[in-house]
Amino acid sequence: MATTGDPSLARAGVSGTAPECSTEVPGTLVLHLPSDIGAIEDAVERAVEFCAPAVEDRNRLLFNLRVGLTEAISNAVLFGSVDDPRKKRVRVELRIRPGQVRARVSDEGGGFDPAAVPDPRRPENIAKASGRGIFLMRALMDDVRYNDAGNAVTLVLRGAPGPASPTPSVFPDEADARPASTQPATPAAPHHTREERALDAVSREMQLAHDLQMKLLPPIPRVRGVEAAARVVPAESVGGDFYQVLQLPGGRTGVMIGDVSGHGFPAALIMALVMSAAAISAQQGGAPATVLEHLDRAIGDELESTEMYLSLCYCVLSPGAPEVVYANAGHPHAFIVEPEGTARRLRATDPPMGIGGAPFRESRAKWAPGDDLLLLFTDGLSDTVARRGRKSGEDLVLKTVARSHRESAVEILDRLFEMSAQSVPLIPADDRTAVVVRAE
Amino acid sequence: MSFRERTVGRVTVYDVDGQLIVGNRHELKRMVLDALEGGARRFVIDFSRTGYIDSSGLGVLITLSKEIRAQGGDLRLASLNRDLTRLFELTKLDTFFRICDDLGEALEE
Repeated sequence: MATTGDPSLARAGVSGTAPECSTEVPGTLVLHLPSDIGAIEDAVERAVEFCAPAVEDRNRLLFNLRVGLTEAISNAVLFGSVDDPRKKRVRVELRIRPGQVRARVSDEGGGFDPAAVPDPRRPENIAKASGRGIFLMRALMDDVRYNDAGNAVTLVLRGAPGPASPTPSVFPDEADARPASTQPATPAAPHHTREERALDAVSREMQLAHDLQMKLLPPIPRVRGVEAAARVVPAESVGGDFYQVLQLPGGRTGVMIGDVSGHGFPAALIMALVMSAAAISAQQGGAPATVLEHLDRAIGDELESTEMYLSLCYCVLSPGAPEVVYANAGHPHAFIVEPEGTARRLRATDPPMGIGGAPFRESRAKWAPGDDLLLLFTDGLSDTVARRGRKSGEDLVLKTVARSHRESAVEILDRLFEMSAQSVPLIPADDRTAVVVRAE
Repeated sequence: MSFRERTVGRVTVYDVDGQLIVGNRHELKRMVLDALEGGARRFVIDFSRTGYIDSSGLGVLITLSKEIRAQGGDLRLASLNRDLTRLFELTKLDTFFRICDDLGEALEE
């Protein structure tokens, strides 16, 4: 688009029809739209048309502003009213002055809880598809801010005053494109405490989801030579964390952890599907990548239709074998912790399910039977222990495990969850989940 | 109509006119999946007339790529302009797709 003609400029009707909503204040336009996917494009085009005089750089108008607004309005439409479909209105307020556009997109839902989202700057989170919408917004706009309730976002685009540059920079440098603070970058599940009216229905749903999540989590099987412990402490707003420790043919042990991007009942349903499909596939003795492929086939459609994503790491330990075989679809926290405390990360072999897909890759990591610990946990745990001034809670989790390495798996978990209970978290709690396995 | 389907040799080519976003992505998905069901295996989506793609547009391309691969087929993306190329790079989806400079390259065996 930078070099060729502008086929989309004509479509946008930048100098075409005036917007239907008249402006009461000069330089201000307010659009109200129904919470309907079909209404998004028209609203974006009206907004772009209105903002055109303020943004001389065509690329920033036709690409940055369009994508940024589309993401903001999509989020409002898709997530802003799920707790009560009757409350479906989205409001877009645009204010322009020379060289600057300010757009505020608000919905009548309970809002996002942006702070419940892990820090997107971490490399392992960049590929998390649940963050792509807000990530793109932040990459393309000059400023992105949420209100406290999390149901309104304000976007600012500066219009590169002066003649449009022939090679305008659509994106800032990648380092700058990431949020500079612990700001959110992934759409979180709707927050459901703000609107009293919705509380009853929501808390019923949460209770159901909570019950489902807890019922599904299986007991840890007793396997000779294997000491395993796992725990989920669900947040008030139930997430979709889960784990499985499976006894496999040939005396092998399968260890799985997963985190569904959404919250509430839909996430719990995805989790239910994953757990049953995973157990079947794993117990047929499938290699880790094969198990992930089966899972992807089983839940891919469901993930797509619900716009959810799933990080999942599946490890297989064989008795006496000097290696762990694993496949890791975008799960950030999977480690082998050596007795002297060195932690080796089991890096993601693929993006999360719902963003990537088959074929899945597999990897192997050195493993000292009887000595090393396999440690898997979710963002909820490391985020709760994160303290101001520290890069991440992950270091604290790893240090705690290193210090208690000689204790039993259950005791190690106790220490982790004690620590997380004592912390004053920087961000509201998500599900906290950890699995510790030692095997001969 | 945002999408035009045509056949070049054994390759089914889609032109995306304007944008691929949350409001029209299912239309493209339906067209491609119908062709896949009808036996087509080689697909090219041409973006030379595309202004912008949003995150859900990226999502539908991922879905299609997976479906096509599952049937032993091949999907290539062609003629991404500079903005769109950066979009794929930034989201690291440039590693997920086969991206060709132009339609000619995409049509090569």
